[in-house]
Amino acid sequence: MNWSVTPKSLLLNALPVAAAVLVWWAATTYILVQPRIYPTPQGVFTELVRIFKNEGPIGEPYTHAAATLWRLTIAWGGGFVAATLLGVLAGRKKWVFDFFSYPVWIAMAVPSVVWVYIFLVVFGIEEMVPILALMILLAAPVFLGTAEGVRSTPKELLEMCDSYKIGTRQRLFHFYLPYIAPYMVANARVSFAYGIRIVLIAEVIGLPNGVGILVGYWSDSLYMAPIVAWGLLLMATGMIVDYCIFAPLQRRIRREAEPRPASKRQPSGNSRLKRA
Amino acid sequence: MLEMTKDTAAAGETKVSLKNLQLSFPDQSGGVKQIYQGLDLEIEKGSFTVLLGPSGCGKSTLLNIMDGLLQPNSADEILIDGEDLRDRPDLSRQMAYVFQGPRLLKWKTLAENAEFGLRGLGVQPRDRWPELMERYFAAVGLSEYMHHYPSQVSGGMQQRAAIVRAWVNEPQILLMDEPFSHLDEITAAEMRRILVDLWRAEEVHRTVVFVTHDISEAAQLATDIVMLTPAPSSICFRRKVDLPWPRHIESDEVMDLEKELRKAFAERAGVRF
Amino acid sequence: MERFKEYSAQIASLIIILLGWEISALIMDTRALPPASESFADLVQLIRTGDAFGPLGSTLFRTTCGFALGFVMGCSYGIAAVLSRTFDDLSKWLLQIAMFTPTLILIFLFLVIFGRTSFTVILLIGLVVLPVVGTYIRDSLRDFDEELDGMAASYKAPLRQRVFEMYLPFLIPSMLAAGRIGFTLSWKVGFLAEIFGFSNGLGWQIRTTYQIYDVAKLLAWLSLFILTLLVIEQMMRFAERRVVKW
Ligand SMILES: Nc1ncnc2c1ncn2[C@@H]1O[C@H](COP(=O)(O)OP(=O)(O)OP(=O)(O)O)[C@@H](O)[C@H]1O
Ligand SMILES: [Mg+2]
Repeated sequence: MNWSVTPKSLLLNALPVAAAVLVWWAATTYILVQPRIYPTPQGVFTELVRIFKNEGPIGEPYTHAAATLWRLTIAWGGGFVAATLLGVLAGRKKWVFDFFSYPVWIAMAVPSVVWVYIFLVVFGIEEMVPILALMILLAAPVFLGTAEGVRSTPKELLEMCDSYKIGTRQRLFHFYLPYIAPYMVANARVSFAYGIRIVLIAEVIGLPNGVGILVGYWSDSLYMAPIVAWGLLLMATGMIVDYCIFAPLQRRIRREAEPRPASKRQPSGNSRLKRA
Repeated sequence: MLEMTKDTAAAGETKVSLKNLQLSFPDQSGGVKQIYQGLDLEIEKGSFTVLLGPSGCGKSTLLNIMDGLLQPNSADEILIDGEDLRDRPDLSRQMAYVFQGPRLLKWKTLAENAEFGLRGLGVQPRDRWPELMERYFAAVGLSEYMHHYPSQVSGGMQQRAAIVRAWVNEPQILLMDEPFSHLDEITAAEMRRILVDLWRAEEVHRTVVFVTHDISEAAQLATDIVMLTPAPSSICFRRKVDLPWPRHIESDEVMDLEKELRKAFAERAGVRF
Repeated sequence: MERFKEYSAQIASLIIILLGWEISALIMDTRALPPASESFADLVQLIRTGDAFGPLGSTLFRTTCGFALGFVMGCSYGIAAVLSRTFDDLSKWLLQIAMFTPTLILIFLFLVIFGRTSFTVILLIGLVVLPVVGTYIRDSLRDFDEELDGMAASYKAPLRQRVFEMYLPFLIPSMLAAGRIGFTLSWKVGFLAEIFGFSNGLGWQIRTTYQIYDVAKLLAWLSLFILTLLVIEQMMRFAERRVVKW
């Protein structure tokens, strides 16, 4: 990503977004006048204000948002830790990787709602269900990324460790960790961005709370403005976390990870997103 | 001795002439780096001219200018056969360039890579292509590998293919930019021999402009040696070489020539060994 | 034998999954978890009677069209973004927005605003696939070796020759990879759109079987969904190996 931000490029970035909002406004005000189905920007803004004022038809928005974020964090954290550990193993031993390759592929191929369906019928309605579904989906790409990172550790350096009789602890912290750190950050970044996009899907069915329930409710009552508002909020959350936490972290770690051979480029958050 | 007169027979006519070349590049700190401040260079028709100079002095850049890939800030003349390249860009179609690395397209076989150059320059009639490719791939010993992909052959073979890509056009001027510098010494020696053989086999010698920073390589190949100073570069030493081929690296003549070049380098270009 | 050894761990994992499923189903003995054999019997029957092909076909059709749309737009975006700095700047935020918008929100909005037609789903898939394919193509095109440009200029290769013999072949591996990723995504998005309010296709079948609590059938449809994806992915991998010979 190019971080050289000039006023001109910023203007160019913002221009089409502003134009899109303008078109949206004009279209909903003059052509498609039906504010329930074609919400106006003002309408969405009003909904945003209502959300911030904690007003809503089926419980407080804050509670719902908190439930969603909590689920996301737990699922993401748990999935990340488990998948990283497994990934390290898989990177070391080929048979572990082979063993997990189909399950991981299936985990990624099955959409989150279907996981929710399956868990719902197996476990009944439980708080755990969407978390589990999310965890499975988020863990899969992390697993693959970590295994790739471990496998990229140069063999010669491993031999060097052997020849200098470096202990396990030291090996872990001074050798493996620095090597896979960039992959871990990239994984965290990708899976979080992915998680925030799909957490709703896992929630829509069969749970008493969460933003997914709200969105499902508004969709059923054919009232679009709050849906757009929630979409904007989640999008903003995703972007803020990405730009304020992951992007700087990734840049720092990349700088530390140098010098590396130029050809072995670090995975970037965006390029890994594609694989998710 | 007879051979020697044949090899230098074409001497006399000027093939390329650069006058008062001026070029600078912007550097990182926002200033400018002068590469040439009024460089003059003449290259004789049929000569094997070796441009010798330290790294970063602007040798590659000079070839780029001759090939019309780069415009200098200003120049009184950039003449090819007496005509200015800037008025007649198509003059550079008589030139073929061998780069520092092979620069092959990895999705094309070696033969297809050579064809890429043939089609681009368009100086050879299409019906001659197969014959030309066969001949020159054989000359560099790659007949069997013509239909391999670059990834399937060694670095030396790739560089040979790159030479074929240039040579099949039978260019009047062959520009070579340190073509062997990243090969191992054994392969490089072999390649030099092949190159000289190819060049000498022609009735009328092509003009070769060969860039290197390797003094011993210059001594083995050149009929003309041009030595450049570090940037802003100018010609600090120039001489003709009248030694017959094959030149043995350890023969007295070649050793003496090397010694002379080394001395000139030290005295005139301020390079220490 | 060698081949078998190579795949033994992968096969072992599949067998363990199936066995675990079968055994736990037998132990638990509830309607919630039917044994694997029952689901597969259902699957075989779905295929035998031909009931599988209607929903499969309509999902596949929408997915393919949407994918094609998104892929073409994504490739055009990637190329344009590399060619023009201004276009890159102009599209940057829009692309970020497209990437971070929750998929479910898009599904709800599209289905309501544009109506529940196949066209809506196709458009939706296209829009979700675009940024993914686009950034992939853009990033790999940025990796193009500038030295090759110099080579082509030196050999006076005209634009046509450069495009067809240099840039396109360079892009083909990335396009195939992006296509594989994009298709998986399309398949899932199309399926989700069906689950959330489209009255035919695989997704709808799964939703219905869930609502009538026919878990064996649900898993049968799910297996069909997974198998189709697996077959298509393998086909694409095969194409990749066949096309990229260098
Ligand atoms: N496009 C460019 N922009 C800025 N500076 C350049 C550019 N091309 C070359 N230079 C500078 O011009 C000088 C000469 O470059 P050139 O590549 O011609 O050197 P060279 O003699 O071929 O060196 P080497 O033996 O290392 O290949 C170098 O200092 C280089 O940094
Ligand atoms: Mg150079």
